[in-house]
Amino acid sequence: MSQPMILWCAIVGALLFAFLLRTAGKYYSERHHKANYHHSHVIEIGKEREMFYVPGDAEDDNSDDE
Amino acid sequence: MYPEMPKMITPMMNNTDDAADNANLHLTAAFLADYASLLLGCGATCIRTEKNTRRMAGALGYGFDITILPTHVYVWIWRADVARRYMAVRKTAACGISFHLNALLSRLSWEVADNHLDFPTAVRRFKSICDTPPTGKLEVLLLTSLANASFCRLFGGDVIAMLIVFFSTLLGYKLKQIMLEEGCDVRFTFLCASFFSATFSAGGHIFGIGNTPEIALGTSVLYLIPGVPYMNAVSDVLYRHYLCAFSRFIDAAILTACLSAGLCAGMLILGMKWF
Repeated sequence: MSQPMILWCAIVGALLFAFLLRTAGKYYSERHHKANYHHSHVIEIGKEREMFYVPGDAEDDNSDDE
Repeated sequence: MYPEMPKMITPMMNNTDDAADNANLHLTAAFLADYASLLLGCGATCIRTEKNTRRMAGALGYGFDITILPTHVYVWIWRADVARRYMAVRKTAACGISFHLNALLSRLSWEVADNHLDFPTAVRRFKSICDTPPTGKLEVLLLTSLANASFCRLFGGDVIAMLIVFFSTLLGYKLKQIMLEEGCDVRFTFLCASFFSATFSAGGHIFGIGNTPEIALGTSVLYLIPGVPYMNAVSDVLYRHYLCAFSRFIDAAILTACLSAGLCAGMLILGMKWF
């Protein structure tokens, strides 16, 4: 196998594995944590207000940074 | 989506006529602003939003004016015999492009104008339109993949290339749905979806499958092209809504740049020749 073939298999395999993992995760969460299940992300994109929040600021969910 | 259904206030005594009339003006302004906000959000052009909203305001017996900005809409209404004007401001609804919603809202404006729907009925109809469920995700996924495979055929791809494009779109679009569901940034989502779609479709070239692998690669990311914002930008330019036109064009251009970056990254990683 040439290098592009190995890379192609690795990238497509990673994507399919991620889909599989997500499906399994959803199935598991539905079975075992029906009531209080929260997703835990390794990496998340935060909001601007999480960094610059000053006590007293309005709790506006409809902010522009979403 | 629509917070509460306003009711027309009927004056009970003569000295409350003015107050009731003012309240009705407020409610109508709020309704028209909500309508314009949703219509803009579901992908209507500025001129369509202006015409539909003006049509309804005219049918309800009010003078009307509208200012459409890239993220907000301002609606003014007034009675012909009163100098006071009432304004309502709404942020453009973030509901995603929906031709179905667009058609239902346009139909509502014609029903108000032609069938002389009264205000509470119009509001009720609007509320039911707001509650319209979106098209099923699986349905959209399959139809998008079929449409992109058809694109491949239009550009001269063979059956193998069409199959490759179908599956690459299926993977890329599924990834896009998942990432948007998870609240990822739309630009990053476009980049990732185009990268994986391009990489998958490059398989035809790498493994030597089919006679037109280059067409499969080129058409595999076409489903990500933001065609509606581009067309709306042209329409807005024609009707001199320059601010909205510029905003839509820049939004679309950024998404196009992101999908191009994903395509180029895929080709670069797999060591494919660009020309």
